Amino acid sequence: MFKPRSGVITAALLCLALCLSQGGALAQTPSASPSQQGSTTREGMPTQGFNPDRVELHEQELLGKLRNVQGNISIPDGRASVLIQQQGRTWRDYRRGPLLWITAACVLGMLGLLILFYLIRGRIRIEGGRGVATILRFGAFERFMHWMTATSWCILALSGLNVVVGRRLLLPLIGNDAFTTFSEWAKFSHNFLAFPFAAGVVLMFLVWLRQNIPNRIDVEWFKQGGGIIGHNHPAAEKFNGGQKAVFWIVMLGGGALTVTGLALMFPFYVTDITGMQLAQVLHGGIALGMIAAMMGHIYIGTVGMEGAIDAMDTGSVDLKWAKEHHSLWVEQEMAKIATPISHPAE
Amino acid sequence: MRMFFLAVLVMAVAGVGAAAALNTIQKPANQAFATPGARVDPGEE
Repeated sequence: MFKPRSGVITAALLCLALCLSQGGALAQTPSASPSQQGSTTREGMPTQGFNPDRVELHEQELLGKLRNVQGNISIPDGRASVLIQQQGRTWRDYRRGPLLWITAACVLGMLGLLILFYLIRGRIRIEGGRGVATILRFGAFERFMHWMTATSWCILALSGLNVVVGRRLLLPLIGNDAFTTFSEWAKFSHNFLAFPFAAGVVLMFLVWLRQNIPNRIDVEWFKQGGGIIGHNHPAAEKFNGGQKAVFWIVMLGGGALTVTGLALMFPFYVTDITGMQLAQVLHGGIALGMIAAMMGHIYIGTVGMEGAIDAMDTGSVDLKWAKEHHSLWVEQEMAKIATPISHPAE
Repeated sequence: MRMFFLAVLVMAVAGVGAAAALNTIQKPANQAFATPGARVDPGEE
């Protein structure tokens, strides 16, 4: 229902827009100057001149017709000359609608797929059970950089999800005060732990790049379903095709998240408001894709496969497990042990 | 799990370091977006 107060706001907005616009937006609207015409009040009384109570004015209609409103200002900050930016509405609508569905699809969809996969396939066990012999798969530094990246990533993902869906899901559960405190700390965590995450991505790139170059062995690994679909064990090096895919998802996705995150962390340093909206959309979209991928990675590294977590726990894995899932790598390691150390002639 | 706990410790230290570094570069919104003629938040000096 129309209220006198909203009419005053409408009139004030209209006056402001008229002052700022350079004849572009409002000149196209048929109601650009109706306030100068004779009109009627809410009570139906005829008026002359400007009438803030005109019933024909509707805020939504007016806002819909005002698109890019930009004018001239006298204060030093030139960005303040933009009163209304159309892309901002598109960005807001995306956050209120499609982004929620994309989030649900990535998180709940992947969770559902993993549960379904577990029910169908069950846990992938070591054939014949665990053996006695183990082989060192990851050294201390490799495990350290993996855990630093993984832990910071989990906090970044949860605090990022809070930005997208926290108000809808968490706020009703814990109340305003707790949600405010949580969101404040989540925001701090998101900004500050982005740096150890980025450092971890760089370290993993430097340490694991050489072993993650895709090759024909990986193509064959994928053709055979990686041993995950079915029960055969295709040959693989230290990192199989699936792990190499995860590596490149983390490298490319983590790099993109770092760049877009820095653009958001330092507003207007490198881009304008439209660029930051684009950075936010990219940041959220890439992060959601990575969340889905990492859920799969975490599943197969823990409950999905017997013996896999040992690689990141103690660093040593069951030799039978290693032969099943990384047979070529085991052969290489065995060859190193078998090769006698040659001493140069004195 | 020693590497896990070490990684969490280093992550926390790096986070605190990042916070300290950012606080020297970034300013609060009421300062960053204020001009001599306008203050974003008049409630804060």
